Amino acid sequence: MEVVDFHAMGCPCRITVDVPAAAEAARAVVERLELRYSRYQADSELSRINRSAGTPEGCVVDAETAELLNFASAAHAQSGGRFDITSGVLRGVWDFRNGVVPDHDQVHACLERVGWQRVRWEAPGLWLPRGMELDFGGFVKEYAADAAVAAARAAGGRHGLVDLGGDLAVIGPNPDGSPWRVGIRDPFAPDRAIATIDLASGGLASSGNYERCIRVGGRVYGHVLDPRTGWPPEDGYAGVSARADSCLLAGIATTVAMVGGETEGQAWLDELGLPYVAVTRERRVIMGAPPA
Amino acid sequence: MSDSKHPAGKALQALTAAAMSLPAYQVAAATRDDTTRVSVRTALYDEASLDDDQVASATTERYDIEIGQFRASTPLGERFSVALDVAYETMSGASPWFVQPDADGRPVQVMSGATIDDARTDVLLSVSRYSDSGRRVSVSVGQSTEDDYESQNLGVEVEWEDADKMTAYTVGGGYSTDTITPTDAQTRFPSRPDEEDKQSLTLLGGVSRILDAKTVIQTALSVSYLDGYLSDPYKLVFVDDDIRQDTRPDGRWTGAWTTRLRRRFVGVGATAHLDYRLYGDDWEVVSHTLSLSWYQDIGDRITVTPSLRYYSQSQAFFYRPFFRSTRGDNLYSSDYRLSPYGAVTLGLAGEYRFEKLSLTGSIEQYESSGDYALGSVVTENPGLVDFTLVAVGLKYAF
Amino acid sequence: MSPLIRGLVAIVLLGALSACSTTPLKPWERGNLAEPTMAWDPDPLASQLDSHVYFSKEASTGGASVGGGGCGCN
Repeated sequence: MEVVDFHAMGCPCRITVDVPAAAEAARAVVERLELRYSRYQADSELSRINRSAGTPEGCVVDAETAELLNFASAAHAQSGGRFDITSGVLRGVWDFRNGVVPDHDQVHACLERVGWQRVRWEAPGLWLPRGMELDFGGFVKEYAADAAVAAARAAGGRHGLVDLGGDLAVIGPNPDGSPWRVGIRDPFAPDRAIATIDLASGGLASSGNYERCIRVGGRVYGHVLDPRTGWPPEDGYAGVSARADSCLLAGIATTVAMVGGETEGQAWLDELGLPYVAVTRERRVIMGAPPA
Repeated sequence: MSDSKHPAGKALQALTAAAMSLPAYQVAAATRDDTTRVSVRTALYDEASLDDDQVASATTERYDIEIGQFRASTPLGERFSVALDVAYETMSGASPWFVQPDADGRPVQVMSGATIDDARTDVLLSVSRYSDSGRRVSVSVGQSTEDDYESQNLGVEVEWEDADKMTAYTVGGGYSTDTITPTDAQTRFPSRPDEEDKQSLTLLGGVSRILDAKTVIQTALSVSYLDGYLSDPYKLVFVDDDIRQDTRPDGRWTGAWTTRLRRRFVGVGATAHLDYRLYGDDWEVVSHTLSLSWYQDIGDRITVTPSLRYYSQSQAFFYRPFFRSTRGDNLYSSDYRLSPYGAVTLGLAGEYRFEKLSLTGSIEQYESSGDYALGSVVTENPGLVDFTLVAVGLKYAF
Repeated sequence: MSPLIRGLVAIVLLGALSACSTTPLKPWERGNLAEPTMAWDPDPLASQLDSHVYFSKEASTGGASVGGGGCGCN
């Protein structure tokens, strides 16, 4: 087995696969997607799109970006607006590093610049209103895991696993046909596993990190913000992991569940019908395992 | 977390549908192999000697062929791929010449006296173009050269698929033109023609379909017309105490309907191949070919493949082991290949993979007999062939 | 069986085959189909030689693809 460790998309990544060329192909895909959709690189496709905000001519996107926007648009609709690639600007008013809770007026003003419904998207043309930004951080890593799997398979990989900072996608089961044994991270101690599951195909995604919170008095403000209100859910989860046919779908499931919090999030997860593990801030573990 | 057998909610279905058009999830039936591959293979083909009591001539030894094969395929630019196949074979031995009745009226084989030595070179070049919609267009040109035979061929094949990528269609056409210049014609064997030619045209249509996540099926119909000299210049026929040249019609319509099934058995790490071909032509030959192979993975590196092939054919209308009287149409052949018989091939192949290299080896044992035919065969042709084919090969993926 | 009847049988079967509706597979469900041994001809050199030998020793010709030509062996 070929094991390749590298750093991409802000996290440690590992590709394990039976064919060396497949490992290289998978890594190249992840690095390509990072270059294209990074918010931090001025010459990325995403930065180019964001620079066009407010211009009358908007911008024209390429085929791959168009499909990602179509998918983001569908996820926005299906999640009732809880998944929104325009919510990144809220980070401008939420300073988690220094633990400062913004005032309501600030959040309210910022919300003017949030909302996929405000964006005019007529493929391949995109018109972002002034002050708005797109952020693919909510799903591009999960998509990259799936794309890496596709590239590894195309290069002849039959057995292997792609791990992008805890978002997993299976190239194929172990050489002996057995599934991969993977740990679900404990949101309170990310180095520890809260459960171990068998992953023979598809993907596993996790959201949440209890460390990145603001605590004011008795209230905990999680770092996942609801694009509809600009605030974290009051009953936010500490972490959610879900398994799906692809890492991308698992990622949307967990991201939206985190935004929804315990009440809305669990209803969402149960409606999806995917296997999941959710951990509340009281360290209660909820296993959503649809009957086999 | 256990497996999700729960009916997926509407939201999940909608998200799944939206995800399907993303490039990472695009799989086309006709995707280009982006790896450069080179393979070499050498094989020994060895025909079993005939039984003494079936042969009226001194020789009972038959053909031995040594074969060398080479194949290289590589992507070219963004959309093209090219493949080159070369085969070189050297043949030696004797071949069935004609059949005559012995004192009891039983057919016995007369073999060609002298040892025949010949070599054949076969070159086939094909270029394919792949489009974004999953369509493949392939064009091939080939040439096969022997001392006494020359064949040139041209083929075109187009493959495309349905929007849901569950069904793929293939249509194709092939043309070949052959020239035969028999050795020793007009000198030792005055009745042999000194130069003849034939042309053939083939049309093919096929459909392949994914039945489920582990099963694919393909069915194809191919129709050919052969025109020209279709007899065997080296074969004679015993007709009413006279010896004549093998004489066949100068046209032949053939049709072959092939169905192939592939199924993966995930738990045992194996793939089953089941192929069936129904063949018929206007020489009244009808044949059935059924083959079954079992590709068994043993660990990550080894695949072992036992296989079984069954074949049965009926005879051409102008075939007899020998002829007691002349025919009105003047068509005669005693070629065992046009006789009624059945055949069984048992095979075993193995592949060992290490990094980019893989080693292959195989052995096949072919046995034919009138007893193996589906119908009852009254008189078996004494020239029916049994052979062994042993091969070893090397494949390298760059 | 005449070529005409055979042709008709094949067309009917083709029709039945394409009419049977199976749920389209999602891309991530196609891993097994991508196994090298699931190819129509996993070892092209082996199948080329086999079909060449059978073509030259039996009366039948034709298969599921075009390409290649005749030889003096037949």
